[in-house]
Amino acid sequence: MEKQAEKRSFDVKATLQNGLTYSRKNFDQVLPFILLVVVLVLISIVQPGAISGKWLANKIDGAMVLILASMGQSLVMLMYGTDLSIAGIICLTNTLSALFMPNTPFGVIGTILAMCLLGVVAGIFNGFIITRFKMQPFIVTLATWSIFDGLALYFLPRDGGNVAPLYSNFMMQRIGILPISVFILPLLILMWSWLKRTRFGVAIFAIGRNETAAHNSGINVNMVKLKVYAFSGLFAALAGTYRTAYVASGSPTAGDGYVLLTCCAAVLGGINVASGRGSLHRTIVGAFVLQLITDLLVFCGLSTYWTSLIQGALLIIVVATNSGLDLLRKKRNLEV
Amino acid sequence: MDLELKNISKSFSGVKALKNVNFGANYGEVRALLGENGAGKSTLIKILAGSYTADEGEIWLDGKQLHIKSPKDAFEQGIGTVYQELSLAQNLDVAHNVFLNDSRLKTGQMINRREIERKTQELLDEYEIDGVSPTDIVRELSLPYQQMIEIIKCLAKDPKVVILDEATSALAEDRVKWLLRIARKMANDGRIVIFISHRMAEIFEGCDNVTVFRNGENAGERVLSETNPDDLVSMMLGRKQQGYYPERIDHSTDEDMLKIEDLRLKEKLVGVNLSVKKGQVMGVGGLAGQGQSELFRVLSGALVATGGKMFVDGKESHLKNPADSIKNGIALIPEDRSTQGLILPLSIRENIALPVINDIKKFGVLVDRKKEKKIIDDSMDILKIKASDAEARVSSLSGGNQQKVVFAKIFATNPKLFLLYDCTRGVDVGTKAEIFTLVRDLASKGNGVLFYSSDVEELVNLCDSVAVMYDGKVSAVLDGADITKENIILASVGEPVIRSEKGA
Repeated sequence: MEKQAEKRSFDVKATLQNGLTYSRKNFDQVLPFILLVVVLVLISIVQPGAISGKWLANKIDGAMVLILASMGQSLVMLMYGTDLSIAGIICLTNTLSALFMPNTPFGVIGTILAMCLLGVVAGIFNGFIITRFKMQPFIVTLATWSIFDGLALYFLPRDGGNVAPLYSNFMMQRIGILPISVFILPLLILMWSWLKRTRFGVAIFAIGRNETAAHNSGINVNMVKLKVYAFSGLFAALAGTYRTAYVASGSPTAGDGYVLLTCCAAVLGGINVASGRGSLHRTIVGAFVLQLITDLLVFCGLSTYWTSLIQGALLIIVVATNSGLDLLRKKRNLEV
Repeated sequence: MDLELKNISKSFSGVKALKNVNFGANYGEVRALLGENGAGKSTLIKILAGSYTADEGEIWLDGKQLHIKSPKDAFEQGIGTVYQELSLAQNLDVAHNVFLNDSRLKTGQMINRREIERKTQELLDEYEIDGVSPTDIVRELSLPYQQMIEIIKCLAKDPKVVILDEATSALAEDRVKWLLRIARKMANDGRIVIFISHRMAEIFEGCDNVTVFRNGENAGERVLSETNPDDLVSMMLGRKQQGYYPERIDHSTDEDMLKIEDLRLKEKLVGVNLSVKKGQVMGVGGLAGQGQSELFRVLSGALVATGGKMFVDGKESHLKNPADSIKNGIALIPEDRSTQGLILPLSIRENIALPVINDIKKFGVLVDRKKEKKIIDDSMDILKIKASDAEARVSSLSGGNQQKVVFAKIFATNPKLFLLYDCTRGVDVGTKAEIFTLVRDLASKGNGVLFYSSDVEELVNLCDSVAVMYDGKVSAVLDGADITKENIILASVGEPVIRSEKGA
C-alpha cells in the first residue's frame, strides 16, 4: 500500500529522468516531435511572424489528405506490409466524388458513404489476394494501384469534374478560425487510442513482428490482414473524398504522389517496420511535419521541385537513423 | 485414457510420417515422448496442436471427439502448446504476450492493462519466476526468460493438456530443475503434461511414463520407474545400442591450434585465457550467460574484442568480421541453425555450396557443376544426411538432418578450428551419437575443436579437457580424470574444484 501511495505522489525529477531514459531508448518514437519543433523554429526564423493560429489551422487543413491516407499506410506497415494501392484509391475516389456527387445533403452524404464502401471493397480485394494466394503485398498493391488508376482515367481522362458546391463549401467553412479538418484530428486520435488496445490492435503488432508466432498463438492471421487492408482502403477513400472538397476538383493522377508521401509520413512518425513499433498518433505528427517542410522550402525561396528531392532524402535519412539505432541497441545488448 | 489419439496417419508428399499411430495419456501424469529423427513425434504433436491436420484418425478428450484444424481450435478445446521455436511477439511486453488474443475479449473491447498485468504477476508468482516484470518488453529478456514466459503464456489459457516441446532446450541446468518442478505441479493440478526432450536424465527425473516412437509408429510404452535408459534407447533405435558416446582417444599434440590471452569484451568477457591444442576437443561449460556465447561470437568474428590477443595456428589474428574468421580457418556451428546457420527455403545443394561459391567457378562467372556436385556428394556421404536428394529443401528436413547440413556447409571451407556452440540442441539421440563420432573424428585429424554444450553429460563424456566459464572468465580447466559432473558444477558456481592426485 505504501508503495502505491509513493507512486501516486508526483515526483518531478523522477518523471524527467524516466522521460530522458525513454527518449534515449526510443529515439525513433520521439523523433517526430523533435522534427516538429525544429521545423517550426526554422520557419519562424526564416519568416518571422508567419506562425499564427490561423496559419496553423490552414496547415492542418492542407495536411489532412496526407494524414488520412497515412493512417492506413501506417497500420499496414506495422503489420510488416505495404499498400501502394492507396494512391490508386485516392485517384479513383477523388475522381468519382468530383464527377458524380449530387448537390443535395443526402446526395453528399450518400456519395461519401459510397466512396467509403468502395475503399473498403478495394482494400478487401487487396487483402483477399494477398492472403488467399500468399502473394507479396508489394506486388499485389502495385498491380491494384495501376488498376484503380486506370479506372480513374476511364471516368475522367484529365483534371476537372464538377464538384458539388454544397460539399466543398461545407468542408471548407471556418467555425471561428477553425476548419472542419481540425475536428477530424481528435476523432483520429481517439480511434487509435481505442484500436491499439483491442485484441485486433495487439494482433497487428504481433503479426508485424512474428507472423508464425501470432498464428501459433491462435490469432486468425489472414482475417486480421484482410481487416487491415480494408482499413487502409477506407482511409485512402476518405483522403480521396476529402481532396475533392479541398481542391474543388477531381484528378485521375494527383493521388500518385501519395505512395512516397504516406510511407514518408509513417516513417517520420516512428513506424519502425524492423522492430514492429509505432503509433498512428505520431504518424499524424509525421504527416504534419512533412507538410510544413514544403512550406519551409517555399519560405526559403526554393522551388517546389526541391520538395520531392528533400522528401526522398528525408525518408532515407530517417530509416537509416532508425535502423542504425536498432543495430546499436542490439550491439549494446549483445543480441547479434 | 483421458486423452486418446486413435489411428492417426499423416503423409507428406507421399512419405508416411505417421502410420496408424495410437497415443494416450491420463490427467495427472507427465508423459514423455521419445523418438529418433523423423520418428513422427513432432508430427503427432503438431497434429494435436493444430499446426497440421491428420489425414486419418481421431482425437478424443474426456470421451468427446475433438476437431482441430488450427492452433486456435486447439487452444479453444483445451490443448496448449509451448513451442520449441518461441511464439512470442518480441515488440510487446510480457503481459500483452501472455494474454495475446485473449478469447474472453469481445470484438472491439479494450484490453484492461492493469488487469492483465496483475494476472500476469499472479502467474509469475505462482510459477516462481523472479526477475521479470509484466511490463518488460520481451525483446529485452534473455532466451531462458523468454522460454519461461512462453510457458506462462500457455498456462494463462488454463489448458487441460500442456505440450512441452523441447521446452528445456534453451534452459540451463538450474532452470531445467525449475521446469521439471513446474511440470509436476501442472500434473498435480490435474492436467495432462506431454514432455518432449532429448535429454534422457530429464525424462527419468521428471516424468511418470514414456511413449517411444520409431519410424512413424508407436514403438511401445514404459513406466519410467521400471525401466532404464539403455532399454529406451534400444526401443528408439530398434536395435541394441552399441555405445552412445564414441571411444575417446586423446589425439592432443603439444602445438596450439588456438591460444587466447586476456581476451576482453566490455563487461561480458573480462580476461579470458584459453588454449586449444591441435587434435584436442576442448569443452566449454558453465551456467547460461557467463560469457560463453560472447566468447564464441568473438572467436567467429561476429563481435569484435575490446582487448586481448588471439593466435590461430601460431599466427596472431585480428578478426573484424565473420569473413576474416573463415579466412583464418575458423568455422562456427551457431546456436540457432534456422536463423544463423541455414537458408531454409533453399536446397541442400545451394546451402552447402554457398560459402565456397567463389572457389568453384569456371570461366569466371559460371558455377562449375561438376566440382559442386563432388563437394556435395562427399559431404552428404560423410554425414549420412537422410534426404531424397540434394535438391530437397532444407526446410523439409528434420532438426537433426538440418544440423548435419550446417556441418556440411562449414566443411566446404576447409577449416582447422571448429567452434561448436550447443550443436546438439534440439537434435535426436541417433543424430547426437553421429555428431559425437564426427567431433572425435575431427580432432583425430589434427583439428582443434571448441565444444560448448549446456548438457554437462556431453562435456564429461566427449571432451579431452573442459574449460568452465564463470562471470566472464575461465574459472577452471579440467583434464583427464578431473572432468567430472561435480567438478564442472563446482566450477560453474565459482567454487574450487577437486583435483585428483595425478591431475595436471
